[in-house]
Amino acid sequence: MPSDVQSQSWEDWVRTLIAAFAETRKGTRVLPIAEEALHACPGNGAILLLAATAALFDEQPERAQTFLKRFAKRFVPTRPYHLVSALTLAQHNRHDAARTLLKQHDLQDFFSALMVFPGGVERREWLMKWHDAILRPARRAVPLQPEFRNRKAKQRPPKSLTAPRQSAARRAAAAPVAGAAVTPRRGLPRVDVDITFTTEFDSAPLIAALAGPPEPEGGWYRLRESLAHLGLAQGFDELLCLSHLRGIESFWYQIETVRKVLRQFRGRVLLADEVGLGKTIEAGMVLKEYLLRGMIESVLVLAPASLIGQWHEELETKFEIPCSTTQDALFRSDPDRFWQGRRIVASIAAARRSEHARRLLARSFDLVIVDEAHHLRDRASQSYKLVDSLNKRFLLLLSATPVQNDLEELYNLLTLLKPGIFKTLKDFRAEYMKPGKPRQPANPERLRELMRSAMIRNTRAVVALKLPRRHAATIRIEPSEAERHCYGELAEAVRRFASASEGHGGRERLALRHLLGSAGSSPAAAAATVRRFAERHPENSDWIGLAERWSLQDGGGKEAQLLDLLRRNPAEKKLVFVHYRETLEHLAGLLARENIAFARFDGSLSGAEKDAAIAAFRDDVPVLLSSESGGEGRNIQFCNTLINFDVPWNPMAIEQRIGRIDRIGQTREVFVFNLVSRGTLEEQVLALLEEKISMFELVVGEAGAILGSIEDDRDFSDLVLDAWLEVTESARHGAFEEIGRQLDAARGQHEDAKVLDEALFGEEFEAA
Amino acid sequence: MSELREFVSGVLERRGAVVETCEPDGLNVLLPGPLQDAMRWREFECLDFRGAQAELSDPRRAIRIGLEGDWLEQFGALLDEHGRWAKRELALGDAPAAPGAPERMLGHALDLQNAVWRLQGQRATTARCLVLAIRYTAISDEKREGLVWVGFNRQTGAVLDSIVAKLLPGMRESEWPASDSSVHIDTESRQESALLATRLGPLLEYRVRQELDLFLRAMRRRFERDRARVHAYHDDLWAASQKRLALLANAPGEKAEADRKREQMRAAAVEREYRSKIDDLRHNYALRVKLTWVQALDLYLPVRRFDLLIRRRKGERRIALDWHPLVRMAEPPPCDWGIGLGTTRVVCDDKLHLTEPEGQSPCTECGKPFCRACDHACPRCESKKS
Repeated sequence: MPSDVQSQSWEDWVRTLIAAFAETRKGTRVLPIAEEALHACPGNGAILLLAATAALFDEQPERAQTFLKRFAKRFVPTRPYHLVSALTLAQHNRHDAARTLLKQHDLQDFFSALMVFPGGVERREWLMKWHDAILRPARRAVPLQPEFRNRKAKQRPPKSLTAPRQSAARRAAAAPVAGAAVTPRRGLPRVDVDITFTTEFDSAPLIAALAGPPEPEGGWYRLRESLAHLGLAQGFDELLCLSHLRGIESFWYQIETVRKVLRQFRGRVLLADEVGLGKTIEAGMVLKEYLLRGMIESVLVLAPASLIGQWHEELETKFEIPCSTTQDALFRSDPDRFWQGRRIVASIAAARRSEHARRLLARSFDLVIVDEAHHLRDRASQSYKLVDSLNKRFLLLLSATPVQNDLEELYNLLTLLKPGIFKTLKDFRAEYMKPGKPRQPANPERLRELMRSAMIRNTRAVVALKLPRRHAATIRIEPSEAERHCYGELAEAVRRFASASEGHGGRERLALRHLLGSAGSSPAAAAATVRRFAERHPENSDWIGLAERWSLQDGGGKEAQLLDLLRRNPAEKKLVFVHYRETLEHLAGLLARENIAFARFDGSLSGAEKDAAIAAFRDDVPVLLSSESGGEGRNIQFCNTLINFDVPWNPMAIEQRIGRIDRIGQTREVFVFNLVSRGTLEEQVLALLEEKISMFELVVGEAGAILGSIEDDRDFSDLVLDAWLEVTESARHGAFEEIGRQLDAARGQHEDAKVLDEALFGEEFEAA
Repeated sequence: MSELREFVSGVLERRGAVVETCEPDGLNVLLPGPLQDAMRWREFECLDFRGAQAELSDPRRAIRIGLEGDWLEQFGALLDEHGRWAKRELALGDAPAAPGAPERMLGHALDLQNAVWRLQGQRATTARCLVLAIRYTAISDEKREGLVWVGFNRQTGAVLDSIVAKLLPGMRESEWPASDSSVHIDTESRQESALLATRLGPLLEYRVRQELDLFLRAMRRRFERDRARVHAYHDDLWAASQKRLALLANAPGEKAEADRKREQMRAAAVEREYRSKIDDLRHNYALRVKLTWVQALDLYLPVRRFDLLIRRRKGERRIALDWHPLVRMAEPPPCDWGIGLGTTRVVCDDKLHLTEPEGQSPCTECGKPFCRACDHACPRCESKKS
């Protein structure tokens, strides 16, 4: 087969086949083209249906039957499938069965049939011939068809009320008594029905087999058992990924979602679960399933900058899928090599920049996942254009609030998944939008019907998920005079350095971030970080002096507060998060001195040591002293108290910490304590997050949705650092005010979107 | 796709091919003539199971095998009818031969509501069991497929589902020693037919319902939502019609009479339309489950067999109840009516049938209690619905 044929995508093949159907009038066979298409895309549903249609055009119903059987094994039969099945039956001269099938699926009307016919309108005469052939006997026998009787009944008054031959009793019941008042009944009586469940089992082959001798060894038996399992896996009834998940419990609605994405949506879907239900897990499961089946090789995850770390960690620890991210050094040092990677997690803001977009568009991906996909709502945006232009086979869009402002956003998102689903924007506006009311659908039922073909939305109500209550307290500690002085001195030095080295790139900025972050964590961390910085900048002796002054500070108020918290309710397990290694070391020494038993968990441990630390925390010790990676991919829901000894500036990192214990499966109330020293940047960060977005009351996952609106290619921690680096007090105040205003607006927009989406979608799109 | 590779390798080897694994995820196969014809392959082929990865590098022009396409059908055809009916014996190994406190164990395993039992004796023996794998295909507005395993003790008649569920994972992992195939008693197959005819159908329906529980619940939720929507729509139309009728109720004259009739006809039409829509819904949501037998296993298990004497009034009956040391579980007591998965049994007066409590409940038509194992219909009113 020529290489250009091999490289065609399934969409190309669909176009080729439809063109062949349209051009071929007489004599030319289309089945060979269809066979070729199937060879290139063997399991594709659209190609299978077109191939079955091609076989019928060439009058080879047996071949059509084979394709249809293959389709039914993998996908939920749809109306086009039923139509092609009926035509196949007709070519087998089984007109009665074909007629029944058309009737069952409401395809007796020729135009209804033409609308779903995979062969296209060019072949309408061919369709009309066969459609007519199937229905001809039925049309002669119209009076026998119950629906036709019903239609007639609708058209003329029922006999019981008009015909003179009606029974006296019925007449009496029907005619109102003259002069008597007619009391309206309470309501239309409900018809009580339930789903019928019928089983069909032919035991004859079993009984016949049991009459013979059994095979004495199990080789064949085991092969048949394997065949049965593989048969289920082929139709996605059995998922291969479930046994490969690490440290997560998958829930029934997630499994149903994955099945639907694979089988019904064929890998192109908008996952719009409510916040907290695990869209990332669902997308990860789909990704893993495709990888295990060998159906994909290259993957691109596009997410807001602040979620990159989370995606990276989840893919690596929960799904064992290593990937490179735009936070890696390679991204900056050798972008060409970076974008050639097979599994990439990228910030969408970075990816859409022209120098990167150019590289991305030059290659193809088997699967593209876009997190917080409501950022693609504007089709004029660079993000939308990038995702639209990417060469991709499967596409998962993730958003809890896909529609933020008006219905056109829905048009844009679903058109990305299923081009043409709503025809043109003009058609969409005319058909589904009320003039002047962009948020109200004009034809909600039809709109929902279409959305069902491209979207899944699980809600907490449907999956009966109850999240535990969360209580958060921020303890603001007054630092000692010396510590306050050191912090102030450091902050000023950092500001001076920042304004002097403006334009010197990201490395210095990262260093400044570490300086301030470590000072917010503990004097031990600050002393070590300032010392390292001083070694890199020997030209300025101030830094050495500063490092020395930090090293003279003791732990102060934060340590005392921590010990107090740990001693309260000692039977309860407590997870203490620390960002800086020096702080961790220092606290380990402190707890040892204070005779508080603890386990330690940090990135330097091996996998087995990490497991042992978690086991010790579960079974023996009341405290787990943990670095940022604490509990990643491990189940620690037995603990419900978390202490943030230092506070990350990135709210997503805070949420990630909370998410270790406050996740589906946590049955008890969750307690979060944040320790911050007054006058630090951390205090400002917490004040913003608590006051503006009530960070600690949000469901895990919600912060990302809110912050996504204010971040572009810079995450929240960058914004607060910028504000902190403002030289004058008033400029600093103004900058933090501005961030607060943005957060306010983002929260408001998020709340609005939630209400809008709830009204728009309700509980109509759940997976199960 | 290591499972697929192992399966393909196993099938080809059993059909006479020489198979060699090659990394990553491939097979080199040397095929005998008949297999070459069946697969339409050359004598030597390289098979690649890497799916999309194979596209990246394929220097040897290997044949790509995957779950896509009809490969599974082709390899399945090579199995022919093999693997449908096999025999296996499990050894006791290190498992304890008997329960520590038999009387207490039996007290938990057998709950007789209207009779007493006495332990008459116990012995170590081998139970001959039948394990069936059945594939279900449930079709409604969606399709769902799966496998269920059911098991019977061919000697006591007990249902072994939970025991089979515990045994299967270990059986898949462990060696399968060849056994003597000559053990085959024809009379048992006749008993088997009777057992399968009466017990298998209800048990399978119960098991499949269990398996499809979530699927059914989701379907019922959608069904109820659609039903409510259909009702709400027609109720609005009907209420409007009733309101107009109420206004016309006391209006005099021929025109009013005609209007009344027209309105009544409209209301009746709304009712009819509503019923037909509900009928459509019922039809659309009807769940049809097709069950297909996949394979059966003649399983010999070491057991501790307890002989029990059951006394009800003046009648006595002996039954056997097996304790399975491999899973340290007693099987459910024999059951002459009902699925027989629980431990509670009611004993009938005449023939001392052991049935589930519903098997001795009063007739729903006339109220007379009777044994469903003795009579298929109520002996007093002959109602079969009871």
